[in-house]
Amino acid sequence: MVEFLDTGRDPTDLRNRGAEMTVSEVDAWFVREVLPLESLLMQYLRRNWRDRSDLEDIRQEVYVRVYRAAREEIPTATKNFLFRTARNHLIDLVRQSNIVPIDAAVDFESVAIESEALSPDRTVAARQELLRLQDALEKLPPRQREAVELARIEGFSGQEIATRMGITRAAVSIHLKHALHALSDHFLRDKTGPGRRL
Amino acid sequence: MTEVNKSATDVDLAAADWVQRRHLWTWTDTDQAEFDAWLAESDANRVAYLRQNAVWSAAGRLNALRQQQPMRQTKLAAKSRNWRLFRYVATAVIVAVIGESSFGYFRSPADSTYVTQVGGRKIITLADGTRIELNTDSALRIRGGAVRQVTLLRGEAYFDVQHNGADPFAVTASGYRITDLGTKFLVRASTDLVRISVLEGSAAVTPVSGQKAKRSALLLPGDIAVANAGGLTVKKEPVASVATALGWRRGLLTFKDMQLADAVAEFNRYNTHKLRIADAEVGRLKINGTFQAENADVFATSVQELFGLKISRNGGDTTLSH
Repeated sequence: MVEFLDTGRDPTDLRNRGAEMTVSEVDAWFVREVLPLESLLMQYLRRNWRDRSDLEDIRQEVYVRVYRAAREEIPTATKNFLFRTARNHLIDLVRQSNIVPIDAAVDFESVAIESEALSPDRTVAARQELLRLQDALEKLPPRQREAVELARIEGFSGQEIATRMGITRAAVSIHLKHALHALSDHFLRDKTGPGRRL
Repeated sequence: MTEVNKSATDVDLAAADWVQRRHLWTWTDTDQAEFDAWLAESDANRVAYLRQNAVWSAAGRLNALRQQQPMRQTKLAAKSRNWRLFRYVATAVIVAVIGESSFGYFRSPADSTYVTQVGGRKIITLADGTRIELNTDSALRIRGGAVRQVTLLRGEAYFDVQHNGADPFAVTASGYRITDLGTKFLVRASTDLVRISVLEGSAAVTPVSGQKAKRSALLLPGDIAVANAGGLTVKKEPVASVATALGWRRGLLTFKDMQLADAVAEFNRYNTHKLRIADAEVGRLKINGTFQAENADVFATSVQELFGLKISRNGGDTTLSH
């Protein structure tokens, strides 16, 4: 499963063969099964949690919970498991806080049905992935975009990118770090999602 | 509850930083130790890393779109305008492999061979504007001093030919010669046979040697010719379905009522880690859909879900069974 995380044929990836990370079945499962559901998960969280500024933290906590549970046993029905976990976490948050948000507890019960109805078609997803990625790339600030293009389209090393862009190595790293972060937020989420451009 | 005290955004940014460090820069033992420590720090770190790294991997697929980027096309067009002056003087090929820093350079009249690895693609633009796109695991030779005489040694290539009546463009593959009459066509060569699909214009297919009468044909758009030592057959398909067969130019494979065994064979052309089918019965299942050629894993999972199959992994290979 290592190849799923590291596309071995890519020259930029081959360059750092020495950079090791032990990839487990759980890691592979997470990337393959959970990440493609992020768009649905965010839709669900947005609908059920008023404070937008909490959403990323909630998402992260749901991922951590799901990941930990999978380390015990990889769930067979990933989608149901993910949404059940999200729902339980939201309930926990409501219980912990002194103020119950008016709209917080409303919709929790409808999760299972909803997640079935919104079942993503993987084939369609695969077809649209490239376009969505390109779309996300176009939204980046120009210098970040340039750095990503040099790294991932042209296949240059960090040093080569620094030379071409006429900036320091540290600046390349910073551009790429922010670019990658922005790309993940656009790319892993649905184009039509209302909070996508926030 | 958990150790989340850093905000998700901070963790995500740290993860993104590790991803770029790991992929783009020299990596020392110290880096590795630091990275291991960071990963071990919390599950949130690990999960964030997996997420950012998945985006990094996905971004690598953007190179499938690079020939469509207007910026590069303009650059290329400008360059070929400059070269036009020299076109008649230079019998050499001007090769522009898109993405390379120098777009054109002279070749001595020695043969040039272009090779793609499994999963690779390459675009070759000739001085006359003819475009050749090499698919995965393919090899093509251009004859020195005769740029319009090419041999497809193995694999598959798409040709978008600038017609020139005085100097016809010819592709040789598996014992046949395909001569263009102003056209776009696809040639796939295997050891004993060659398949030619025509999208636009027309092309003549003749054997390099032997009884030409029985084994020659004039192909029109939508024609798919399959030729081997025994002879040549032509079937007519809608042009749209011929165009579908060109999905690999964008990294896509489209199957329509295709047997799983054939679909798996297609995927295996593009990937070093192979898909396998346990028995003939599974191989006869029919599959429809469009997939990314390099993402055999998504395909295997879809098929698994669709037909309720089992997936087992052995080394890098994946086996589908009942």
